[in-house]
Amino acid sequence: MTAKTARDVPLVPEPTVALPSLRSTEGRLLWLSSVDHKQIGIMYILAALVFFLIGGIEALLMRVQLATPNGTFLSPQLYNQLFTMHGTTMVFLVGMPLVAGLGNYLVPLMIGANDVAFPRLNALSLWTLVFGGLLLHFSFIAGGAPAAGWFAYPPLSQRTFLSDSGVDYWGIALLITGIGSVGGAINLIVTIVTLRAPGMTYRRMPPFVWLTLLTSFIILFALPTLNATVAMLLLDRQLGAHFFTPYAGANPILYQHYFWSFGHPEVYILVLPFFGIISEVIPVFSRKPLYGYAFVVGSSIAIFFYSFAVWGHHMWAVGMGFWLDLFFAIGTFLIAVPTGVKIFNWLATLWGGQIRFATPMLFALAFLVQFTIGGVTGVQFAVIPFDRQVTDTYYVVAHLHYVLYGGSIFAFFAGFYYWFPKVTGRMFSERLGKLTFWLMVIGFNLTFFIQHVLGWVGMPRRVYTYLDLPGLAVMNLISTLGSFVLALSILTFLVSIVHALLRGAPAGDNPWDAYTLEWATSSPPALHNFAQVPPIRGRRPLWDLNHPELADYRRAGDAVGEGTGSRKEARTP
Amino acid sequence: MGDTPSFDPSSLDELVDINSIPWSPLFIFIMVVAVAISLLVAGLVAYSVRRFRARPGGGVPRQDFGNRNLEIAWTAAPAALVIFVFGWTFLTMRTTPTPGSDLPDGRRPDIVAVGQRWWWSFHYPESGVTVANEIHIPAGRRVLVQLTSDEVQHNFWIPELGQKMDMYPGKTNYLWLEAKEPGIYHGVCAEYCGTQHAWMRLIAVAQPEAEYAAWVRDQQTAPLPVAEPLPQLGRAIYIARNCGSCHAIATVSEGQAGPNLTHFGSRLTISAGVLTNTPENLAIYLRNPQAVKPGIFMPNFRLSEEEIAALVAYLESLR
Repeated sequence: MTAKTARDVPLVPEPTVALPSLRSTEGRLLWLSSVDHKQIGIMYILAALVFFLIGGIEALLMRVQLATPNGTFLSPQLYNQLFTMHGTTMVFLVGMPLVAGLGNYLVPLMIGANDVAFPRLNALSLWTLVFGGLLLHFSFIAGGAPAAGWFAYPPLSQRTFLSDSGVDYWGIALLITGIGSVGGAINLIVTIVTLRAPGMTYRRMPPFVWLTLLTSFIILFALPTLNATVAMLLLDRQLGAHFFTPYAGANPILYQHYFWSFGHPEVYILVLPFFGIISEVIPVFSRKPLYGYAFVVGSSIAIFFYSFAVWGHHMWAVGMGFWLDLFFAIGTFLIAVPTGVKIFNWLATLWGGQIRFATPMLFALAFLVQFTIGGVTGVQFAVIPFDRQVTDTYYVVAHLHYVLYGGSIFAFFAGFYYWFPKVTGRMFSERLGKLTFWLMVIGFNLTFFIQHVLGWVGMPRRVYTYLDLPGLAVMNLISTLGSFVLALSILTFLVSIVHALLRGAPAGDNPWDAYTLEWATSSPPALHNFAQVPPIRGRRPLWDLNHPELADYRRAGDAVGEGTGSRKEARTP
Repeated sequence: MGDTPSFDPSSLDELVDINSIPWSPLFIFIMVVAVAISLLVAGLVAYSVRRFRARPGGGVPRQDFGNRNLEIAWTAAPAALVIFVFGWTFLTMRTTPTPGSDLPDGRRPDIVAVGQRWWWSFHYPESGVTVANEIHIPAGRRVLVQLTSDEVQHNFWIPELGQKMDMYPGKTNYLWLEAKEPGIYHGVCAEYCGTQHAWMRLIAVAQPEAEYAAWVRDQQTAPLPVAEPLPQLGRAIYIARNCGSCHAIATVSEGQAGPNLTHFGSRLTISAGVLTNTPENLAIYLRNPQAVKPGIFMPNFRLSEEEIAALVAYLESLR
């Protein structure tokens, strides 16, 4: 059947009964016990979308409170809980499950495998995430949500200052989801290393798979740091340990080092897979190969290493000392270079193409511009005196939302619309997709661009209200109006999904004339993923199959000098 | 949704201009570069989508896999740029006084600032003056502020006068402040410190040297006892109600938990910036501090209107 070696087969239990489906009247509950990577991937993304709505509502409540100076819509206590929950939710319950869900669904299909290496571990990882998320939100009705910020710096996060159980729920929820994230990362690493179809060499892996592999390694190295840190904080709170209590001689700044030595790699966890999506979408809709594949992948490996050496740039207001400050500045400046290389390669992929403006491509193009804005403001922070002006202000809020929303979430929507026909077998309405896109671009930029100015003129972050200084009221009002346009775009997004599921035309196997293996199978993919994996003789097996006269392996004199005329010929099934 | 009743939030508009971050050539340069790069990328995207839009019969475009020289060029150019900016940053930090944990040689701090939940206490070691939430500094002279905290982490920031620096319990940081011109400058706590982080503001009043010296002399002397009956009554209520167990007023009480009120009447704001200091606002505040600044440690004393009127008269007389 599939072109797998005998070595690979026993690793993955083959499903033998038809998978339960939302469409069938029977067995919907079987989703709960599923170990199929496609169903687990879908459930990850559905969980992320539910938490995305919750985190979004938390953000809207905050924007209403800030629409006018001296607002009284929320009490300070509730506002502080909301910004803590918004940050925690968006990072751990939206970003992380999106990364895990996309990797889960796509990686086995892209490398020509039937499932992930450890399907049961996969189910465990999913459900630890879901239960961790539910536990975190249970805190709202168990005496108050955490109010120490998503970073929970001691001493404030100690029991002396926040004595209700919110921070305890925060810590336990993070421990649980952290274990799930590490399990998911191990699973994807082993899957990519051991379950690639014959011919799928590392140099031929789709960029999304490469970036998921790198991301999984970052998770593997970074998340245990967080879990250890959170465990220490919980010991302080519950058992009176003194890891971070200054009155007992401990140094609370140590916590900040621990937290950000996880926290900055985390930023790249939440960005690299989305670079992968962009590296799939832009080539397909330009009808060209990814420009400079080796440099896109290589620069990502550079980011992987640098990401562990820049955490101190979150701490330049701490007073770490001149030379330590400077050390972290060097890394922060340098990490901009491999990120810039990718932007240039994506632009070069567009250059000379035949660009199709389907909804996924629109999101990818907006990503290019918005992520660049988030990136250049990020490098500005490496100028330490500048950082000491704008850190802890709305300038940082604007920056991080340009990176994580304008970048990662826009790329997610690009990927969502790109793979939606594959996952559901239905085409979505381009009109609704484009409406969603334009509302989101307008809403996003209206909300967050002005926040650069707010921070520049001195509005601090994490304030439940602000003094009516000239300009602040009008700028905050603009931001709040923008956030409601953004919310409207989420509504049209949901409408477009429902519309497509109910009315969408059948998609066919490969509606975009795409390149990678997931488009070789049926839409939605069958139980075993592939009846037959096409020969893999380059990076674009489906392009080679559909355009044999232009196949990559016929290409001579490749400027980059790789990826063609493979020495290891793939076995045809 | 909130349980904060509305009150009249008097604004400080007429007193101050909005804060703005100082412009230095380095800051201007990185802003220009950031805008230029953003525009370059946006421009290339815009050009590409017009120029390379798929057209019917467009066929298959040339399958271009990359170009090693271009890759080297667009790796080297940004690398050169960031190395240049790093060098500039380094030189800037070497040649301007850098805040941090190291006490500059032979300098004693001019002001010792202690972050509290949610107000500031300031002590001038030279003159022995202690104030709260409002500092006076000589214009045109650089002053060194020592930063520390009582309980949780805070951050001292007056955008126009200097950079921001964290305040920790058990750690000492230093920060230079300099006001080129006399004026009133707003500052904030910039590190999240709990419920009332938003209303942990401070004001710096920069004065010409002579005026500043007069202010210091003023602060060194306790306010003159007032003769009118209403402030006298207010002073008696202040003592009877044990206000002094938290607040200090020179010659009257020595409480340390709350802001020092010795010269309260001369301050611009009440409770670290939440209200402008007027008799009307002080009455609103005393009627129920929890309604104006929910979550602070000053409880509602359920004072009668007569008591409030007397306390307001007393406190506002402390100039």
